[in-house]
Amino acid sequence: MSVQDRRRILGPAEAKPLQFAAITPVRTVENRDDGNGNKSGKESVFISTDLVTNANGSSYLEYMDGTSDQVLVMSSVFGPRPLRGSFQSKASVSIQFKEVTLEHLNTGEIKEICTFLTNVFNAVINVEKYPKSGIDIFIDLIQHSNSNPTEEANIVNILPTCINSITMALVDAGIEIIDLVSAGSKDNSVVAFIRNGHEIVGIWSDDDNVTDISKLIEECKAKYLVNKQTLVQYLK
Amino acid sequence: MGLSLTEKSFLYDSLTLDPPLRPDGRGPHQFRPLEVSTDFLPNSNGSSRVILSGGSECIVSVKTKVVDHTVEQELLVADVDIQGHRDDSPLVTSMSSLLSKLLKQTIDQKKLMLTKRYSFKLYIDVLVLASKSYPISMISFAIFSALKNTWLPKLISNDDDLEVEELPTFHDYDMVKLEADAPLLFTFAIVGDGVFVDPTFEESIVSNNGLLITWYKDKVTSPIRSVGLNNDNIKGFSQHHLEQAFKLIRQYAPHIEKALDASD
Amino acid sequence: MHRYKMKPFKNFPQTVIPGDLICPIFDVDDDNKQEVVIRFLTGTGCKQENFRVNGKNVDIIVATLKGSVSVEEVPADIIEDDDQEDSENTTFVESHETTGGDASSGNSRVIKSFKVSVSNPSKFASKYVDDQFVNNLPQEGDIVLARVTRISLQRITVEILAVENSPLPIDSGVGSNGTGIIAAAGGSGASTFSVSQVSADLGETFRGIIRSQDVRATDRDRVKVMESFKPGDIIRAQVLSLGDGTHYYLTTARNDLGVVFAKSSNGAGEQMYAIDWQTMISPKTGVAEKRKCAKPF
Repeated sequence: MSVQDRRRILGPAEAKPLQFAAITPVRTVENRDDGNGNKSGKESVFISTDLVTNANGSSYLEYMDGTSDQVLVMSSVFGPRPLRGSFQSKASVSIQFKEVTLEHLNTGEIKEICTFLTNVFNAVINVEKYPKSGIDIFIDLIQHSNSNPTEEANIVNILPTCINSITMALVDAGIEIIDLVSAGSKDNSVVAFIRNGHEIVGIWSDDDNVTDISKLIEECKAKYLVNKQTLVQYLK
Repeated sequence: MGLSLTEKSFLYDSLTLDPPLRPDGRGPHQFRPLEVSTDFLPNSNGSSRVILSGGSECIVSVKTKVVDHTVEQELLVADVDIQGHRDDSPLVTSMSSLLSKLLKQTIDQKKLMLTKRYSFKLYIDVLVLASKSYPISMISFAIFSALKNTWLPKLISNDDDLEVEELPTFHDYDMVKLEADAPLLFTFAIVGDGVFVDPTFEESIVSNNGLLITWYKDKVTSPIRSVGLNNDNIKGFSQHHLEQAFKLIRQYAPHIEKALDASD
Repeated sequence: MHRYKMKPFKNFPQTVIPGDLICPIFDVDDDNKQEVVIRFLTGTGCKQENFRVNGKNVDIIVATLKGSVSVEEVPADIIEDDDQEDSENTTFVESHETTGGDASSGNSRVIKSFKVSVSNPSKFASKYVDDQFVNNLPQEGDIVLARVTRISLQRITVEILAVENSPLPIDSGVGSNGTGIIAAAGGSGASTFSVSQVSADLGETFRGIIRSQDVRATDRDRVKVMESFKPGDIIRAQVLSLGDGTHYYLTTARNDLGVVFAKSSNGAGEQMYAIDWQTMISPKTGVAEKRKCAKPF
């Protein structure tokens, strides 16, 4: 018994076991989708911010539509931190998307999502404010119920929640943004808006049959307004 | 290479004039003159080369192989290589993923079927030799004309092999043209209130945002994306910009398709 | 919450979230017979944005942070004479005069400037360091506290630890906010935890350079870097410019700038105290070392 146990990495002397507090939802905002009646159940969003302690800002979002679709996303914002290399008068924003549990998307699709999200947030972050700096945003897709292993993951279903989540994390971090970005989706398209839907900051459509773009935007805008209201409700 | 603040502001101002003035004098709907040559690679089943007036150049080669499609389901592989960009850079990976997904969706795989067991597998290799502006439009043009000019060996054995392990045999020199339609991708730069097709490098730098719209079989189809053509001037755009881009594409894409089709 | 009783401030929102409109960039107050044109400038947490209302372009100050709005009058003489601001100003006055030609007091119009800013009340109350550093990156003219990392004959390289009067971010490159960490030697992390020890190793702080000519204001060509700073010293410096890609350019050429904390014998000894502007002594051993000291008061 005198032999020291060398095979295990022992914790520090005063290490304590992890204890989790009972989960109490901070606020649950429920919105009934009364646009078109094709979704029977209630859509609900759970929002929580500031849970990653060493990040400047973070957020966790659960999105559930009334049926079976469920998206859990966590984002954390680091920075502004110094960039190395040549002088940059504006901040450079980088967004890394990752599936932390099951992996359904291939590398190319993940890069596509990152590029798309970076473009969306380049339009709203006040980049002039942060010279010589980089702002790093990490977004983790924790669960996406629609993506059962046999089925192809549907990017369009997860994008709006990702966008909402990054917006909340940025607000939490105190990074200057010109407006809350949120997105609405319809069939196979996602449109991200700012300024009450007067401006579009991103469009991603995998819909093969786009006949009327104006109608599509109107429909996405209606969803956007609901989503944005949810964010505002949480923040106020 | 970058532009100075003065140059950027000059460019932005001239593009937001009414009517807009593009640096090379084009109208908002006009492409840069482009040169397409096809069938120049003797070892490929189909090839094409697209040169834009700005010096951007892209070659595409289509090669084929007979595979057992009960084993190998993927009958189309697209690979993009851009000079000066690493293979794992976001630009190359996202573009390559977008293109291969799109080609798989649009190209009729039944056309590649030889027998009940065997199929042709197409390898589409894209090499962008020089490009400063967002190259996806040029790549799609090159793929389009390469696929239009792809010749596959003519099958002389029976096309119903009753699923036995018998390799199909081909004619010694007769070839059959693969009549495949590839989608065309268009990039638009949004500058101020205007929408400009086929932006040059300089126009991309000052643009507020970019749009990528696909045209296939006489209609607008997916993917439709907003793409950042630069990193520091990005702004939101309005519904009006999108409508304008759709209008331009519906009006001019058929002409472009026709012109590319005729270029053998 | 506002000290100002003028009419335009009545409609001010108290708390805002990003995207909320605060006010137009100009407003008019005519309470006391005399017309006062109020010009709003943007401080932290807000940005001037262009909106199109009924076909007309309007400049409005929008909030970019979540927090409460504060307004502060800027005395006319310290407003920077920025060309752009100036031209905006004149065009406004002209257009106003043409439209409201009947205003009798065209010449005696007073222009007052107010700075609007949005600040976030600390989200951790007093328990943690405030995280407002994100909106207080070093700017030209700011006073910063920095640690000397390297010296050469020509320049001193430092890493910037904090901007004076603005707190640190949570992740100032130390990977932690310094609480609840179990230190290697035992005990609470907060007491033994030193920002300056950890940050340099991670390469996560903003770095600065002081050229030997910028060390002091007089006799600047004969500065000996070795007799002014030593690696490890904590110094107070002013930002000259944003500098190049990796470094801010700093200066200590002022009486109140220079070394504030230093340890003797290249950091091996104990803390020293300044006895004049170029000498520091260690009270126990009495050893004097040369430094360019900051005037403490």
